[in-house]
Amino acid sequence: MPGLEPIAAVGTPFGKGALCVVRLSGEGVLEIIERVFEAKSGKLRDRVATYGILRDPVTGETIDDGILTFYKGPRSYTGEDSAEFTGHGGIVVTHAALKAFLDAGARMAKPGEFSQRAFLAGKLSLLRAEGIVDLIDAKTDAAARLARRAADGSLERKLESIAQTLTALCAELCVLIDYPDQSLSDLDEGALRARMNDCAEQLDRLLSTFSASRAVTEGVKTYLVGRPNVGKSSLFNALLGEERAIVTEIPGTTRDLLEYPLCAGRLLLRLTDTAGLRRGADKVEQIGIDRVRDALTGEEGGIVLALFDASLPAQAEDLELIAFLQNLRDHKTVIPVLTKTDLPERFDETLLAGFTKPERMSLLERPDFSELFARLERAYIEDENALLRGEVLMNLRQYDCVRRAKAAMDESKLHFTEAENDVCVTLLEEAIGELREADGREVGEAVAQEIFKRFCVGK
Amino acid sequence: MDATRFSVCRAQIAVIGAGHAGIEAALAAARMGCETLLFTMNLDAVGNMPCNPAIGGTGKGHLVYEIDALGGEMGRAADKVCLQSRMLNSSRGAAVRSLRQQSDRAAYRNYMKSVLETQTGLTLVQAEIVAVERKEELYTVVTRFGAEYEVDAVIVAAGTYLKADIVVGDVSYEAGPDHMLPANELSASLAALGVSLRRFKTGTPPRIHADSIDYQKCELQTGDEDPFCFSSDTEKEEFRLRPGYRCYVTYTNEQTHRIIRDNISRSPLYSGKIHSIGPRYCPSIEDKIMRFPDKDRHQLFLEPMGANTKEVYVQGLSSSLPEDVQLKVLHSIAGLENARVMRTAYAIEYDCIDPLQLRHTLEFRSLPGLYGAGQFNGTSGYEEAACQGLVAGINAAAKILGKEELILSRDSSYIGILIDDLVTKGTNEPYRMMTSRCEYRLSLRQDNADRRMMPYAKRYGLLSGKRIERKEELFRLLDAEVARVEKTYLSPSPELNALLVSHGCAPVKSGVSVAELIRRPELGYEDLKTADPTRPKLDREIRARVEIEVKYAGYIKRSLSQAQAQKKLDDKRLPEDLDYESIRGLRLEARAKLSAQKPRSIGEASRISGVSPADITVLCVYLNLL
Repeated sequence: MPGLEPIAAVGTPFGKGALCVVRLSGEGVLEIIERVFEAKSGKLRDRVATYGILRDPVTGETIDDGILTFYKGPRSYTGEDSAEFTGHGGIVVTHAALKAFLDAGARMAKPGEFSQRAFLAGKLSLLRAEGIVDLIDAKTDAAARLARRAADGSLERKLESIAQTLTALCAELCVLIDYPDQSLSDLDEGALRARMNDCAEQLDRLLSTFSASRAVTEGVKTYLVGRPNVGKSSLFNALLGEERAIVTEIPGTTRDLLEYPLCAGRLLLRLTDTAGLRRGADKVEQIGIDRVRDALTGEEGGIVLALFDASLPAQAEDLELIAFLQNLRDHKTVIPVLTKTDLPERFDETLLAGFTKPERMSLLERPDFSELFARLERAYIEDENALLRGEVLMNLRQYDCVRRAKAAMDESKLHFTEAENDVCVTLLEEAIGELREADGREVGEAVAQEIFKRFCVGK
Repeated sequence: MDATRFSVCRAQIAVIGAGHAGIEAALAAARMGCETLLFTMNLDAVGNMPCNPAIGGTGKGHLVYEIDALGGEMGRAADKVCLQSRMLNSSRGAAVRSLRQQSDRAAYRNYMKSVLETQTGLTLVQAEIVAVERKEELYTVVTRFGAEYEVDAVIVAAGTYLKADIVVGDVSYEAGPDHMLPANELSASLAALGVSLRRFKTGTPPRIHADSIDYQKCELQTGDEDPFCFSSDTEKEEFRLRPGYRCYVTYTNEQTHRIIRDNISRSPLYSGKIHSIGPRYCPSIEDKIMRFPDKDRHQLFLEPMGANTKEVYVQGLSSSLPEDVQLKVLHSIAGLENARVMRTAYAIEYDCIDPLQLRHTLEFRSLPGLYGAGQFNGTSGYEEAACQGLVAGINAAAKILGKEELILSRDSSYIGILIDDLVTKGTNEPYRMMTSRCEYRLSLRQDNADRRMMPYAKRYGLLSGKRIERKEELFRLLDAEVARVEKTYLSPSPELNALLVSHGCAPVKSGVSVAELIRRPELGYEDLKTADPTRPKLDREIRARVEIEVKYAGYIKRSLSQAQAQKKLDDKRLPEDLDYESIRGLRLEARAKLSAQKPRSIGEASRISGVSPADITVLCVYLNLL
């Protein structure tokens, strides 16, 4: 097989560390190694870690010493000839090691290219490959854990198990169609319907995990709103306060609002600076509604933290805000926050009756956000166990497959009558096809196999 | 001893075997104008039914309708000799309705023989073909007596005759179906041409004397009161008036099962005498008992073999147990206690090919001009055989005449699905058509077979001009009426709502189209007659078809939107020099198909059978087209 050109990349993060790993894959990897690596602990052999010296291919200078393992394709991650060099960490050495391999003929790998090659070599399913790419891109621990599970094939197994149940269901209906004269199974219509509903529910649960996984991996847009002087800036600073060191500014993709990522438990909040709050104290703060009204009403999802001063009676602007928020509740998580609770409380809380229980905080003290974060987590992560098992939809493609499968199933349920057996079965097969990403031929064959396995049919 | 060779004549096409495949192949080729020879080992067994005396059934009924619509003979023949006609699944949705007819087996043979004898351009010869030889572009078929016929194309439709062995208990001997002579030499000759052969097994139940059956102990099964026929050429009024014959149902019981279990070591299937692969959908009774020990009874059907015979076929009791065990088994069954066996059940092993060697035209990939059809290709069933014969016959003739080849896509027909399954997936047991194999079952229905096949029938000229005219007039009326019900709105009058409520369906508050009402599950076209005053007078067939077309319209729309998605894929171009063999994420089959066909776009690639959506994803990722 004509191979793909050799690629190289650093497999460990750049920066200080005890070790660094440089990976290589593609046709001619062995030649590249021979140009830069001098084995000291015996001859280089397939799948055997060998100690040796890494040299600059141009100058011959020693760069580092370390362990090199060569994997002869197809018994490798990518299915190609590949290798891993483990040397000493540190930016300078790591760079030099990578440069040596590039100078010796490798090309710098693009992000996700190793996994892409593994997928193309049939080593990884798409779901697993996506999991690995997500893993590399993970911004938080929780996101990394999720991606890890996807790479393990948890989602794949879950989808397959639903597809298998549906195939068995289909076989039970098909056998009645293909062998109408034979008293084959004592078809329990109620039981069949129950199994169908169960599958539909499982798909629903999977679909609902999408918002959780998005919240964990992509983050949730989070807005702070409230009239001036209610404490938006203080809360903003308090939330970001200690996190600032590890946070970088992300220019907002829409409009000119800036976003600041913030780990809130397992969620990633994308805290949005509303109405130029961060521009300095000398500027008069505005209620913020005007600037973000479009963003708040236009987008689906997201969190709104609505601030009210507990020490004062509700002002006209507060009432206006409450009215505005009433309309947002359907598609946003709205949490009222009562500030300045260190002062005597004069705010009429019954005004907030239509919302969830308000958070109370005094921004004088260093507030404890754990309760708030837990609430947000609960709002986004409905099925804790699904998340733990990794039975979670991670990207739009997966979500779309399952959504289409669910739509076909829902429609199929509508036709679960004898007179519409043909329609019911066809839609079920469509659902199976979506879950397995298989075409009708394969689904039909699977159903036929199931019929032969389970039923005694024939002349 | 080898016979002295002598040349008889030059013809265009030779068909080996005059069973259900061979008949259709030879008739199609001759009707298209090719000088055709049809060889059979026994002129008294032309179109024989060595197993079920029946045509059609689930999935198979669709095949017969399509054969008839393409200009084949099977539907006309079955209607002619029909003893009982039943529309299966009539309660389960129009798409899976399948016609099954009990047939007078002797009458069927006589009908077919007569059709073959009177067909212009067709020569029917009783001879065993012992060799097929290839010389440059031509083939020579050689009979046992040394007669040589030189032809452009050969269609092998040898059924289950090749090196056939019949097995009953520990007795086995060389014999074809119905204990006729086997064809023992042709296999080696085909192998010498490079055809690879393998062994399949099938079986048949016993036939018993009608007068020895106690029908009082059996359940009666009659045909439809208003029976359907397969062929558009059949005179419907005459067909309806014919008397229906009766079938009966009885069951095995615990005693039957014990007898079988006690004697299972004497079954050649379990003693290791038979090694070849039998069909799972058509298991012998001993298989059923051993594989499904929990089932306390199995259904058996008693079917007449003909109008002028007392033989009765015991469907469900196929077996290769020794004859003494078969008798005990039969006599343990209600109604069959005193049954007199006229023919013993047997298993039969035979040579057939791996159909992956064939193209969609049923021509051998490596042997241009050589075609395979029927059970020889690894299928089972008369209908499966007949449709392959028809396709092979049309293609052999088309090639000689310089016409376009006939490749039926999966979304065109059950025939297309059957052939695509065979030549792209292969089969490891005799292949039977089933509706569950058909992903396009909602649009591939018996009722619209005529329309689906019409373009092909016209292309090859296999239908009479009169029939085409009649059909096109029917399609016109059908379309006009479908259009009318879609745009005819009814006001929410008290009369309309009373009608709706009387059918158990919700009343309407505003105007509603007739079509929308037809689409309600509780309602049909006929139910709305009184509410729909502008309705034209149409015959029964059109009325039934309007209802089906309207009810299934939503699904046809669905496939249209799929077609639009497909169009987007068509815009994604594939480089011509793409080396598919190097993309190992593609499944083997996909790699081979893509390399051979070199599609121009992702869309074209996705339509190649053998290329799955998973393969398409691999291609998109490979080319960064996602």
